[in-house]
Amino acid sequence: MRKSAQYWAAALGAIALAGCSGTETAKDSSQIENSEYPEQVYWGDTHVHTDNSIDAFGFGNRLDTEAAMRFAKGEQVTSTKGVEAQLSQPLDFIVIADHAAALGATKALYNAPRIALLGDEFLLRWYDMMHESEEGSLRVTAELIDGAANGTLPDNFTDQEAQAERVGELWTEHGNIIERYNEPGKFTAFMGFEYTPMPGGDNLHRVVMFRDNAEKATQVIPFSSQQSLNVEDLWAYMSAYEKKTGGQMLSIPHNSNVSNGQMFSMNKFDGSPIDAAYAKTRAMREPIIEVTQIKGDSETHPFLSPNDEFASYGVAGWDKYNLSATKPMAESSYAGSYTREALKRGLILEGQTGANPFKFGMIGSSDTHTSLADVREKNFTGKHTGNEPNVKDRALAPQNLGTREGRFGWHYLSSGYAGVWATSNTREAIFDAMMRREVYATTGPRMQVRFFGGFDYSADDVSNLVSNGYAKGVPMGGDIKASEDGKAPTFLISALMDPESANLDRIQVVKGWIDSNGQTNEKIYNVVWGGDRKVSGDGKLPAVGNTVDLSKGTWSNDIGAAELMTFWQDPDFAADQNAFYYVRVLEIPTPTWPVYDSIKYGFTLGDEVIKIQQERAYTSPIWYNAKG
Amino acid sequence: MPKLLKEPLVHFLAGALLIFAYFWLTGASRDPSSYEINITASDIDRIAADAIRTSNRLLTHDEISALVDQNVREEILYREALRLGLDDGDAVIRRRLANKMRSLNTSDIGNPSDSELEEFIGKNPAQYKEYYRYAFDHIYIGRSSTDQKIWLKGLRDGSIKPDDIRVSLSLDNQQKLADEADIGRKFGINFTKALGGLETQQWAGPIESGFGQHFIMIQEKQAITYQIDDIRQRLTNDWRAAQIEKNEKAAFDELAESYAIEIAPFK
Repeated sequence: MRKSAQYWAAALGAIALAGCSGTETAKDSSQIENSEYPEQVYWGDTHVHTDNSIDAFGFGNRLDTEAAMRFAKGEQVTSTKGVEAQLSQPLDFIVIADHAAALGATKALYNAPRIALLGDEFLLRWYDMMHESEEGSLRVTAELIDGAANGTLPDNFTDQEAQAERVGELWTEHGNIIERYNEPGKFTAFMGFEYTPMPGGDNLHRVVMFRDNAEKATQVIPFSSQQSLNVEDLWAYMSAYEKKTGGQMLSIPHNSNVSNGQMFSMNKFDGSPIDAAYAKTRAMREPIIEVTQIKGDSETHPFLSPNDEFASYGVAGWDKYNLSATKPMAESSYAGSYTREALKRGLILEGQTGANPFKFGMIGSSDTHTSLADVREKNFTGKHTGNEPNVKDRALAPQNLGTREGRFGWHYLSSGYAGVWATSNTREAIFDAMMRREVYATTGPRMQVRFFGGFDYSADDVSNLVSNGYAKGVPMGGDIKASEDGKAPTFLISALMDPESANLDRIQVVKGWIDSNGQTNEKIYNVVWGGDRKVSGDGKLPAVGNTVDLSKGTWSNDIGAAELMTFWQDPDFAADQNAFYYVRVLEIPTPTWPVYDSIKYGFTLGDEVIKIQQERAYTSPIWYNAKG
Repeated sequence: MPKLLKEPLVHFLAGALLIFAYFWLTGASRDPSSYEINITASDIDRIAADAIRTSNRLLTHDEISALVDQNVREEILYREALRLGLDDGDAVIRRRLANKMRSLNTSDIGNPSDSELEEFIGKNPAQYKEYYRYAFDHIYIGRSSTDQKIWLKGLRDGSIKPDDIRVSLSLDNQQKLADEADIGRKFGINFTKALGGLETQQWAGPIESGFGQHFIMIQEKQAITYQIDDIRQRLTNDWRAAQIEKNEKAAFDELAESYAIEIAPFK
């Protein structure tokens, strides 16, 4: 007995000392060699929530930053619900993006001595609900999300001063773990957080990340939506940080699909029209967008792109109500909610103000709340702990948390990842590639996509695509200047399939431009495809076919192609019209994650459930500037 | 005397004595069964420091005195609550305390020495002992070819040149010496597994990658043993995780040892 008491006394002593011990210095990123140009695509997830996020913890997540790191590095980790989860290929980098708003608050509340809450009926009720049962904890989370949307959270959750101490300690401890796992050249762990403004339930969320180590990043504490709902205040915070530390930050908007037209509004937060100063700041602070993730895909919508037969991907379940499902979204709002339309709006605003606020590249990331970022359909780790893989009916369960009606488990996409063409696997190189937008989004598969633009390419350049690409033009995310002799821009494009996923169906170029009447337009070109198919007069390419066996969850790579590459020149070019071009790569049809669940657990999916999809990649655009 | 040993009151008193002895021996100051409350100077420092941190200012003597009084009141009520058994049967308190016991083990455990890391590697040989590096030439022939055997024979006797049957793919035809993990990343994990079974210095296969079939000529195969310095960061993290798990289990097992647990059969 005595021995055990001594043990606990020692353990208690150790707790008091925890955090005082220094962590060993990691290898310095300056020792890592950078390649001349980006030779390798690095894969990452910039949007992982751990038990420090108020909602993730409330949903039941008990995996911390360390577990998230180990999983991303490819190790087997047991999920909160007891599922042994592992990535088939490790990720190269990760951003833990816990909600800055009430960071760590549910965990702190849960772990607080009950006696400390006796004077606060409100918190005591939540405290007891969380401890009583899983359902209770889910109800608390639903109330938290509603409260955050409606601005009715208690002071302990919202008052910045009241939580400064908790957040400060947590942020420092988090930084220690991040530093322990950051291994320049092998695995990059970024400091970051999520800024979560949601006025009226309209999603204006941003992931915010640092280029710097924890020592610098912990000189500030995460900026939260409780301090301001106006994103310009976030940008001011970023500037202040950079001035103070000499560091650098960027911000990544996401889930514009549930913003009710607000993410890419033509107006600023205060309702006044976007001006040049705002446009310049936004373009600098927000160089990339998270276009696809578990809560749906934000590329475009069939309402906006009626001639795009692939526009409906990831739309179902997310286009009727805003994030908190407190407001229905009218079709007229869609133009401010989807990225393709935003790129077009950017051209209009550039004409009006002289600067393009929506000059962004594209990445995907998961927004997982389980600490585990696996978005392979076959191994979907779930949106949150309430729908981890061993929750049998997760595909069919209604997701009506709080007032959230009409969303079912199957509406969640097992998506996405960020592909980054960087010169090394270091914070500096990956961050800098994001700043120059040399990045692309995928809905999960790790296909390798190259996209170069300029005036000097020819069909012969395809044979040595990468070196010619860099030598004679710009990569994805870049700008091409005005055409001198009216010559149409040329492009080199390639895509190599993910060797652990499916063949490729086709590569498309999506062009958006502003015409002489000031109207914006879009057109989709099928530029190269697998198999023996012919483009018809209206530019449409016959479907690649479908080999999916729903009873087994398999498909055959007998259709499509392992690799596609081509030279392409814009056939409809007008030298005086600003335009953007981006690439969309489509895989052949494969089963969605609910299909694997239905096979594993032996249930039937209704007709309304989407069972077959074409996974895809979206590159950052290349912009043509008629005056530049 | 034997009669006395069967007396419940004696049992009770003996039990109380044991508990008392325990707290006396272990020096635990917060014995809930005691009627003595001793607020030490360091307790007062802690109470004041907590308050200063929340209020962000210095406190007056009266304020500190009020906090100490409050602390004493809480302690009295807390002990009385325990005496009344108010914690018993309360699921919230039960779970809360269990949770607190668990978190005692996840405390910082410092950094391992090299010899501890050596020992750790020794215990997990599969994870750290050895991996392979390969350099090879490959001929990608697409997904379905019926002439595989004839082609292999032709490649070996020189009657077929690699470029005669090669299907173009942007991956280099010559893979430079690389870790198997990096090769797996390029070609898929099943490909790497299949590489291990091939003979070297001659055309072999075909084996399958995610892209299709490849004939392979392994030019070089190296078995690499990990040196601590190569993977110190990973090793340290792994060692720490294992240590925490071990401590947790050991602490629990030690506690559980003193319990006789009986569970009624159920369906």
